[in-house]
Amino acid sequence: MQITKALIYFVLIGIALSSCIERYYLDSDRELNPRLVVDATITNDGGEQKIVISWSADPEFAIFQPVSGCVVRVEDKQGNQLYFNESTGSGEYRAIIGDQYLRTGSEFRLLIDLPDGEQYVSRFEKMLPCPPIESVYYELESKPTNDPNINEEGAQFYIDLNAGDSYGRFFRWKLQETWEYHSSFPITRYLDEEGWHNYGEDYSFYTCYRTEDIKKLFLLSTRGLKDNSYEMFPLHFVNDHTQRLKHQYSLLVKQYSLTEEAWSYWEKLRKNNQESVDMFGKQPVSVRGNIFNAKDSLETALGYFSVSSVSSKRIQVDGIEDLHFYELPVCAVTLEKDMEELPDEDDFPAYFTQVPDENQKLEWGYANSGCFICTMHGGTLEKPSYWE
Amino acid sequence: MKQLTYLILFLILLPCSLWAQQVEQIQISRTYDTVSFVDLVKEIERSNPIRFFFKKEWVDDLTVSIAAQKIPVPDLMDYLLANTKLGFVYQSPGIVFLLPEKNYLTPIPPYNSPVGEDLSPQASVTTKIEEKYLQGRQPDMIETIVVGSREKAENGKPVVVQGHLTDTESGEPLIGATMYIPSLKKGAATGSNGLMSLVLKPGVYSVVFQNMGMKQVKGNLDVRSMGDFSLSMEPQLQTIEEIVVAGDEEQTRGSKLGMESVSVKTMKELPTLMGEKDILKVAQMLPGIVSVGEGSAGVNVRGGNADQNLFYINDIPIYNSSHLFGFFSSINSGIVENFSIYKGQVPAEFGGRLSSVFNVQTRRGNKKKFFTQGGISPISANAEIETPIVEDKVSMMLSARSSYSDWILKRLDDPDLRNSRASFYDFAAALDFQLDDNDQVAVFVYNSHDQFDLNDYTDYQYGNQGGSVNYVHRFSPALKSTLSAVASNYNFSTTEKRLATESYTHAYSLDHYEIKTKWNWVPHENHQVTAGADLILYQLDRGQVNPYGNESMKLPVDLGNEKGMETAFFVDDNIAIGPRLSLNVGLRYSMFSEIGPKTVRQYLPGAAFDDINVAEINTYEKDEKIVSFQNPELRAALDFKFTRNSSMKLSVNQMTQYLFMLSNTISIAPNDQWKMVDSHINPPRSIQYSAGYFHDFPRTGLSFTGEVYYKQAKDVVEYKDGADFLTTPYVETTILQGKQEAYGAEFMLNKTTGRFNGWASYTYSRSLITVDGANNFQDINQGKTYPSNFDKPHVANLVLNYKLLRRISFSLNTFYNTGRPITLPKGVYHIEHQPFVDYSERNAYRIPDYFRMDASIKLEGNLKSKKLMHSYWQISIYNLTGRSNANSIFFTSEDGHLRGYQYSVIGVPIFTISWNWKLGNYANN
Repeated sequence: MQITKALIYFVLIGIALSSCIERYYLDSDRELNPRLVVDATITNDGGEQKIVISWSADPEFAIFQPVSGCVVRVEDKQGNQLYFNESTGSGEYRAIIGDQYLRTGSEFRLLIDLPDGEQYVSRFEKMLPCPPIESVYYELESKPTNDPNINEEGAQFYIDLNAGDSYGRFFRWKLQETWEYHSSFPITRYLDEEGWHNYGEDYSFYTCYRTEDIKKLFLLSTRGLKDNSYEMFPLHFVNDHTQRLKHQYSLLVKQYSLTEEAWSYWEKLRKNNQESVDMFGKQPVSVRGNIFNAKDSLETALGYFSVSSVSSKRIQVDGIEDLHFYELPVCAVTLEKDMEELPDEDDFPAYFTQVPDENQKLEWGYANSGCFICTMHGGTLEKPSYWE
Repeated sequence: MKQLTYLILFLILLPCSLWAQQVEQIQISRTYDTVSFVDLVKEIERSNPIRFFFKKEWVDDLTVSIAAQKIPVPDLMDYLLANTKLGFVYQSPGIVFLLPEKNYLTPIPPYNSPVGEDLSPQASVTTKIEEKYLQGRQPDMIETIVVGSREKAENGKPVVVQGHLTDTESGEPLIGATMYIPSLKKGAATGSNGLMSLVLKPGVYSVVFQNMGMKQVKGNLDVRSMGDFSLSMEPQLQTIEEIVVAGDEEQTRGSKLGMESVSVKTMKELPTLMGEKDILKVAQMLPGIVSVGEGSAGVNVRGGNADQNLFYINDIPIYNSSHLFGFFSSINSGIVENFSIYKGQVPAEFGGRLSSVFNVQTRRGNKKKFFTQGGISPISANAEIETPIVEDKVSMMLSARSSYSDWILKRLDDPDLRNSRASFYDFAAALDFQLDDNDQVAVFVYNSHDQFDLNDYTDYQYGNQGGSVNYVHRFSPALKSTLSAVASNYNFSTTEKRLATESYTHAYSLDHYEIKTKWNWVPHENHQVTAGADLILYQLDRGQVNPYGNESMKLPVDLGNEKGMETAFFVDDNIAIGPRLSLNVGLRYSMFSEIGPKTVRQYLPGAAFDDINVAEINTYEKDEKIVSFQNPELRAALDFKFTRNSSMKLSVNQMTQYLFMLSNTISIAPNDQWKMVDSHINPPRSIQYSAGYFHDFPRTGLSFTGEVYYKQAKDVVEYKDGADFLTTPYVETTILQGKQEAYGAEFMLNKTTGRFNGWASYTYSRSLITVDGANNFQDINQGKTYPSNFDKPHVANLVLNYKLLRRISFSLNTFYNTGRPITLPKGVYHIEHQPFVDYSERNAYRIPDYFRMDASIKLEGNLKSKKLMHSYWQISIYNLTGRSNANSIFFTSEDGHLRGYQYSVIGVPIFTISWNWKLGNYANN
């Protein structure tokens, strides 16, 4: 005799798993033992070499604490020494190294005597030849965001590498972007202590140029690849939430050829710094640079003394018409007739512009100075020499 | 003539005389003139299947004369005792108890055996069962089970009694069911085939049979000679199912330290995440078992790495026990019959991992009738059928489970996860042949598969496949052999396509072939021996990393093949020394050889294992031995009973591991490779000392266990910073070996019976790692000791079930543990105006403590006995308080500032209502 039994499990309601990310603050009563930080890269890029020496800071109060009064030297294998001079109290030590020393194949090391008598010495680093940059370009891409209905539009920049076997296989790129941006309005009328000033349309503070270093590590090793070349290495992504891609954009790419040790140092830093909601989780890597306390080689300074030859490439991008710039901030204008009183002295000079009211009639309205004076957003009025 | 136990014992037997009346009566024919009573009954016992129980001094002076012709026993006794004050009770078919008085009502002191045998009761304390009878509260019919026959009896010599316990409904063998003889404080538990054996002297014993989820059976065991008995137990429907934590014989399980047993039925009551009942999640509510984080794959047992656990499902090793990166286990809980975890004292038959053995036995199919069950959860559906093929002889079980939707992923915020696809399935089939009373063959196959596609960037696939054939032959009740043959495969493949130029695909495969023979021998009542041998052949194809797509410039890397042979001989010897002390001495002698073909590097002496320091390269031919290891592993334990309800246990346990996992992630990732030890990598070894105290409070159903342990492991594998296991076949260049130290104390108060049941446990434990080689380059964390990723000193769990009515029950689970260790910034520094983190020593800090509470309510349908369908509602709330428990903390540089974030896997209460139905009534289970 068989009795059939069945158990079927119906789920009527299920609510999705919901993961979340929140800010995390470190305990404030943690003890901080500052460590020496050395920011030193010698290049054949021409011009002044700069070495910055500081102390590490509390993670929650990341202030720059320069170390002044050090004796800083760079020495090559032939024993040539060059002293770096500090601009007073800044922790920045500068020197110009003659081109005759900065030849590929030369090896350098860094020596630092701290004011308290401690000495730090780096290992010798070799200057490797750097291949020219093959090409830098962008592609318009749409990236998903945390909101499934919204994608981020913008330009993803890429670099191609085509180095022969005579070059090393470890590279780093540093990027500097410059972009043109415009105020919302030209200056036409403003109010100050002297009363009203009327212009025609003054565009002298309308167009600005701003230059920024892109604070991100771009590193590549072609070890493990067939050739010492790479196609479409992703650089940074520029979205259309700013004016960067609206008018004109310029990207300067500097390519450094690294030793394996240097590459491995920066790669570890990069891995430790990248956003890592890793499904399986990883330990931060312990990173040891090449600058040691002369008395105790286990005590290392933070940072890596690198030596590299450099090749550069600049590309210019005209305003990209396919982008919509929907997310650009809009200047709010308050119609003069809606204002109870005019701006007072604290807001002088108070700039006014003409905007249509609800009846499409042009009326004077007041807006923030930032809507008229582009330099208030960190740029300069000076047009870069390479601007088209 | 045998010893007499309590008089109570025979009062228990009284009802049986009624029941036994239909049984054929023994009639005596004898003629004697003035013979001593003792000699007479000896003579009668010799020639008839009958036994007499009495105290010798009562009858010392008694002489009798009879001339009997086919006189029934009661009549004979009436006649013999007519002129004495002695009374008697006769239990058909062949037991006679003498009483000191004709109308004897109160208990008398224990008898001593007239022939000086030492099976007399040890204490005059009455047992729970006895009390019940004295108080007359338990009107149950007591069954007498007769083993063997009088004819075969050998004059009081201990004999082996074998019992076969089955489920009345399904006819399936009961695993882990126990028989306990209170008077002897002795018991036995059934193995995977439902068989148990025990050495007893002939006599009548009061026995109790117990099994999780089954009605307790009390009865008498009348042992006459070597022989078998069978007993069916009925499912227990009135009480809430329980998890029984072993460690105390009083409690149903064997006498092993650090052994846990989980009933699958327990999970019916416990709240679940998304309706998926998961045996590994239940295991994590037990002391000493934790995982790195919520939904992470792998468990950590007593401070050991996740790769230090061996998972067996019907003898098939499972090399990846998780579905969906660890949210669920790859073992379908619906087919689990029995689940044991050995985390302290491990039987010598198991080896090969340092921390634990998870041994899962599945259902083997109902031998009496067709059965089916199934379920649908928000993410998967499963179904199982069981059917007899030849009734009582051959049965079959088939089960399948598959995910049908990855809608959960679609609802996540993270765009990478939202655009991902995930699916899994598993399949199992069993065939069970009961060839005859002495031969049983079981065949089992298993397959599981997972696929996960992360936003078209990375495609992961992995699966376990395996088959096992298990043949049990019983030569006699005292000697049994088991022969198993197992073939298993674990494989995964990864396709990484985020960057076209670096895209690659990699496939990995591990084959495991095993033959194991095991012999159980019971030479003497106080002595049991298990011995055998195990032979495993491993074949690892670590795979090729090949370029993927036309644009990929990736150079192919062959990670190489490996072949290894693990052999082990084992013997476990259980000896009872007196009634209080028992010893278990086990030895496992394991050997491992790595076999060619392979290319092996030799490095410069004293130099780091890296690509530069290669001194020479040796090539080994096919089947040539490359390196071999031998390790004796001691497994010893001692058990001392203070009283009937309390005992102490000590154990020493050594383990060796020849296969480990290459993992540079905190929890197990689906592309973590198993790797064999080799010329440069020593097998990790461990020794664990543990001690436990166990106490039962019989009247309350409460039991307390407390265990402490100290474990030290050598040559545990840790990866070097930044290690990438896909770049080189020479794994020694990417790993380091160090010491692992773990210790802890585990406490658990458990209530298994009554409407209100559950357990509370607290564990204090530490797990520390030191990688301090002879040279700096062999150090991790500069050679300083650091806590492991799963070092959670304080863990407290509370599981409460309350059955308000038969139709309404509640369940509440509460979890607390110290946050896992984490490496945090101790400073920040700027290079080129970018902030970077100066990290602390490894794992110097902890994430915030974890706390979670889950609740469920189960509402049953009506209790009518005649109905077509029964249903119940279950409402589960996972993470009742909605706490966002940090799973990880990370720091990221944003616009030149360093910001810390904590990531929680589940930060809201998750509410699930489910409706369940089955054909039949409430009790039809």
